Amino acid sequence: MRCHEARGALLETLTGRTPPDTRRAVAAHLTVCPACRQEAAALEETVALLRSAPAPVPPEGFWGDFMVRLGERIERTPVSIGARLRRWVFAPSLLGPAAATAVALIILIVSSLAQLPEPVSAPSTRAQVTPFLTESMKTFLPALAETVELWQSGLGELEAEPLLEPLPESP
Amino acid sequence: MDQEDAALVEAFRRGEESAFTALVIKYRETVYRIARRMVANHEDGADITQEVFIRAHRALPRFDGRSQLRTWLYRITVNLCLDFQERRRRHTWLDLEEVTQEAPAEMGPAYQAEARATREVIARAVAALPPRQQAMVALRLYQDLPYGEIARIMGCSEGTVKATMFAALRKLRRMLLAEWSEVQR
Repeated sequence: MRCHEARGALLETLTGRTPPDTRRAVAAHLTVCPACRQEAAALEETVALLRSAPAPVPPEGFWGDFMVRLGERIERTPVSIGARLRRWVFAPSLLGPAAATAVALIILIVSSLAQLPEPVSAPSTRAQVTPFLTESMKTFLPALAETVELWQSGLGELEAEPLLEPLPESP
Repeated sequence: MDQEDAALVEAFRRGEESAFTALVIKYRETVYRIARRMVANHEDGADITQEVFIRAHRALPRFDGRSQLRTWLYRITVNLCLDFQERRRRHTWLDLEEVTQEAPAEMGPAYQAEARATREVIARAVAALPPRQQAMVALRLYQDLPYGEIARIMGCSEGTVKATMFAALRKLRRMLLAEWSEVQR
């Protein structure tokens, strides 16, 4: 182990948990290197001195008051609708039922759309006019009958055959 | 995440406020100690501890559980302390009455005086460190957290934490020697 490696490992050795082989390697280096030994002693002393400072302790009865004040502050803190919604939505216990409900809703909507009746096609013009034009009307009002027939064979007859034959293809 | 913490977080998300109270009771002392090591007096440390849990209460529904809950809480604590120090602009006033109040009386007046002097020197030296170094010293030496976790709390690499700690310890040693020679005079 070289000096820079030893000093890197020294910090871990003095302040943390090092594997036994690293600890042994550091110790072996320190036996042959006076400079690193001096550095190690200085660091060790500093760490020990710093650790000797006692943990800060709050005054007697502090935590009781602390919990009361914390509760009051949390109650006063306004919670936005978004935060409430997030809390509800992201609750892990609700994720499963929420996902199942969403899937069920999608299936319901898709199946109800698939079962809709076929749209009713509009009746043909002939079908709309025929019930109003009786045989007696044709007899008494021949002009009207002729007009209706003419209209049915022209504008009103959508399925009528073309009046002209298509032109022959050029060779 | 720690199983107990995970169960408490889930219960809180279901709307059980008592789960949050349990989390506060579990972590309040450590949060207070970290804050107290980084700010000058009890009042500021108490205010920061309170603020940590207010923020945690607000943000816990969004906590994704990728890190340990304690890492997340300590990160909030350190960030609040750093913000506080930034606002105070290196305000290093120390309540030495508080720092030295734990000196054990049963050890005799000579020991008590020496212990008091040592604690004053240490408190002054730590308070004179840059805020991030103070945080790392508090987390490593006093909370015994692993370097990897400190790196996640501080938002930097483990190598940076180690290098900063090394520099902080050397600086502390120099300051302690200088302070100590002042006291001895």
